Amino acid sequence: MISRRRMLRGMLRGSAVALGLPLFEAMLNENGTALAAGTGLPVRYGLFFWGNGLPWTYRHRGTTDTVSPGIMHPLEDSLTDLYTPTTEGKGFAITETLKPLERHLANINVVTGLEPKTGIPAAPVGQSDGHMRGISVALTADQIRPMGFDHDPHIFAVNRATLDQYIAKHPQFYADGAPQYRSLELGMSSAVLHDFGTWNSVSHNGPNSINPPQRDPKKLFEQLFSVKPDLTEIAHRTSVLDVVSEDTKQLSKRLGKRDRERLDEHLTHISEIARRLNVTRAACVSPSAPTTAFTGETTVLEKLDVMADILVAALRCDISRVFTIAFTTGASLLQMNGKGEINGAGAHQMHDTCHGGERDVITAFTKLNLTAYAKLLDKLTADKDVNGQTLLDSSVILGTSEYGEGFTHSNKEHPFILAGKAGGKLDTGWHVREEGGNMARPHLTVLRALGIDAPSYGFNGGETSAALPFLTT
Amino acid sequence: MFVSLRPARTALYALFCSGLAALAGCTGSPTGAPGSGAQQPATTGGTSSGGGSGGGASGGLATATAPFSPSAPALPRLTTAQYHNVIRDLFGPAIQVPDLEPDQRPYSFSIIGASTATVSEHGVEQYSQAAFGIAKAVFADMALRQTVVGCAPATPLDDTCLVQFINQFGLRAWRRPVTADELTRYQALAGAIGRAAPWVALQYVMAAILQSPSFLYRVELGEVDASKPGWLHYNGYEMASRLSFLLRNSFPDTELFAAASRGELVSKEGVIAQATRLLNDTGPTETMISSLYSEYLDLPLLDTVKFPDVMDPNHTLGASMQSEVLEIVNRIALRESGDMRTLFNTRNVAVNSDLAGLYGLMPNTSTALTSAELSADGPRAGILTTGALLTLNNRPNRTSPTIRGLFIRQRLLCGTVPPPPPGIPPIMETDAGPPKTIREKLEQHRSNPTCAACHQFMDPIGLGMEDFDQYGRFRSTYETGQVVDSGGDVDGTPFSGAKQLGQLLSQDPRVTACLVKALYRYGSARLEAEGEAKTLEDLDTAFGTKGYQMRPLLTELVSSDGFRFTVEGAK
Repeated sequence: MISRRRMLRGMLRGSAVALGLPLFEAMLNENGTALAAGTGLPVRYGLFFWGNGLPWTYRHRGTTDTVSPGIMHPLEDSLTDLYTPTTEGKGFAITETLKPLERHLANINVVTGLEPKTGIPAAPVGQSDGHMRGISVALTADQIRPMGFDHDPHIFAVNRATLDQYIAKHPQFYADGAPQYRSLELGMSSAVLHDFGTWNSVSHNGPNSINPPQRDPKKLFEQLFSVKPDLTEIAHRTSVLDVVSEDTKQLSKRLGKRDRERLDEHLTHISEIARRLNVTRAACVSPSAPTTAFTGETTVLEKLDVMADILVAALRCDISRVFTIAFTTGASLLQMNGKGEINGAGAHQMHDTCHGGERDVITAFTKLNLTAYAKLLDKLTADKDVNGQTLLDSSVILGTSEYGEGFTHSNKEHPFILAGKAGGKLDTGWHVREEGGNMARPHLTVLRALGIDAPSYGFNGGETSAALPFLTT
Repeated sequence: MFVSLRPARTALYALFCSGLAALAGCTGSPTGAPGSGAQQPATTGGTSSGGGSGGGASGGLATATAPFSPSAPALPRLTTAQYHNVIRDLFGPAIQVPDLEPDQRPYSFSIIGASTATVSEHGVEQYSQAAFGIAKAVFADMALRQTVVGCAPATPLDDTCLVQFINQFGLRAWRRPVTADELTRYQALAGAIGRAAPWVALQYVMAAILQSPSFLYRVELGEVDASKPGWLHYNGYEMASRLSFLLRNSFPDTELFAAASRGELVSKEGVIAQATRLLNDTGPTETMISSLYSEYLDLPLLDTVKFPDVMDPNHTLGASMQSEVLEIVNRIALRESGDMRTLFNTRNVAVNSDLAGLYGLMPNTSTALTSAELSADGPRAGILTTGALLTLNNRPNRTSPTIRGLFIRQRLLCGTVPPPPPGIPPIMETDAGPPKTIREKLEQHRSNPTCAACHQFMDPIGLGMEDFDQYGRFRSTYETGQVVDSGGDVDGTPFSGAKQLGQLLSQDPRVTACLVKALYRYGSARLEAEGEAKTLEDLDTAFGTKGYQMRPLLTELVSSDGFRFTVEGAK
């Protein structure tokens, strides 16, 4: 038996660094359920995000709207719910918009009825805006930054790190050393409301600190699987980064608090890059290099296939254990018609459709997004981990969107679809419904499933200590 | 599909609306003094820096008579455009810049994003790879490396050449002299790389200089000013950098460095002398004006507009529209040194084969823009009636008087519009019954007082532009055959059609005050703070005194207290 801990530790200037080695069967215990060294098999976290929520129904009609009391929403009782399963618990019946996920029903949990519980400060006005409130709470379990509606500051709407970054930087998550990348950020559709800020990115380190997504399959492949520099080059680069770190520290001392924080984050990134430079990766089956750039929106599903192949290889090779995918973004500008054809005849722009009220188009759009989600799950179930289980079995994927629905920008009935068993911590196949429930519950459930101590999670009114019932321990 | 509102609730609406008015300041009222319709949430706070502060609604120029007090400096990273320009100016056009993290654009300007957003880990990695890659490419070119290094290194690398290189290249790359401490550190780096291979050592020294924060960030922290207790003035090198990045979007040229080293840029006269020199160099100044107006007016968004093929067979129309606006702006601003207010009513436009037909002018076969005169009795005059400004700010399938009005209210008048409440009743696009014009739909929308609270500040302006469709084509009837009514009003002053709206804006003092504010933000790389209201007021006054000309305004800007003085940032 080889001690994994021993293999994973190297020395760089006196500090321990992790070596991103693939896991070998020899390192497993006899049952194949854990590493012989006593540490568990890696668990992975992923976010699958889509824009514009669900087709609107009477369920999205507000009843407890305290900000604009008395507003009646034009959501008629006759609008059939195309999303929420009619039965609860295990073995629920499929619905029209969930249809694309039918082959994965045994791998997913559908959680319905949840909504933000975070407070809405009275001033400046606009913090109740459906887009920003939904996106911020879905990603951070916190209220939006108290800046009001003004679209300009809204590009930096989140108040704290998004869940992926909370996990990637949590000492309990990469307890035995981080792999090459603490997290990977991917994007698919480029039809974004703005090519910057919260409208473009679903991964944030905190306020004003965004991790922009990689939307180019070739560049993603290059970043993760290109040939590394030789040892001399690595040594030279390490010396350079040492000098640059020292420059950064010296400059940081002269700055005011706000800019010092920015520069200190820059310094942390330099250390992380120096660490990565010295992480060696053993031979690992890399995916084939992509040959198509997939520009334009009509091939967005094909692009997902290719990028998911690269991502899945990166997970299997333990290059990272945390990822986010923005398949579409908040207030997506992707254009589609009622038949579900991207840029097809009579196509409407998604954000416009929400405002305009073409429900058939938004239904088709929801199905497109969930088709993409199903394709990601296909990839994660096709690939096997060292213990013979699928990558999805050792992962938990949080599927969510920007709000309940876009017609009235309602934050009620915010969709959550969790996938994967997190190495056995989650049972799957459930529909859990809690009307008016706290949408930080999925976050708390994810954290506990990943083995992170979380007595409660959520902020500024969004706190919860109640995990979802499919958490097994 | 609308559910009618119960009368009992009306009082609540009224309360809600007045609450909004009080909180967000439903500004833009015609009674507002010039320049005062400009309440901007998140612009206040002594050290406000792009989106960083909560602010509230008490900002703007309410304290315009208070004496100027300086603000903490911004720490902008180079924007991607600046990074490209700097590399070009250091090494020539042959050296390629790889991908960098995209700019963020809060408050319209990438330079504000550059001083607000924290660079991501991937962004830092891109900077690092760019620096290694650029240094490698420079040193792979024997002639170029000799020019850049400036001395002949011995083998092993001698200190004389090494020190000379670090000092001379460092000065240009970091826009200031290298400190003794830094010199020692970089000499040691050359040793760590290995002096036996001198060019390799120099290459990695350069790679380090190009990813040091002193290169990536503009460090302009100021120094004690003997005559103004508590204030700091930007030192000569910092001032050279501020002037150069504003007016050239790149690092200082030889003359600016020389002026800095002679200590000339601490005085107002010294700044004015250098600014005058730079502004009289029309080519680069046109580039500066173009970048300013591109971002101010959101012109690059035209790249994503898909025009009907019949209008745009070569898919060049969006680009032509952008070029036309910049051509008009530069003509008035620089070549004619004209009154910037005439932007809104000039009949002198610039057309090519894409645009001549759109404007009903004689067919033109050239792709290059040429000057053309619009007819005095036609429906167009000024940039509001250019293809660009008419196409921006619409929905894909129709005009949006609301978005057009919002743009004019916020961007050109610097007013604010209260936010939509949650659960907004949408504008119904698919009502049964006879087709309604967008005016009728919006009037229905505004009959709801909650909606009217916001829409009253946008729709009446945008509705007055209904004589042009979402691609900038003049129209007198809709496709349904209904007659276009392009009556609108700006805070009670009625007008009809986009041309008349331009005429109104050309005489509205809020428009020039708003331009001054945008320019101040662009030059400061951050939002204005309350203590700078006096500077904004003075600049606005000077703009008028100098006949609303751009060059004098820029000179006033760079020689203003706000541009020359700072204070220490809160620790």
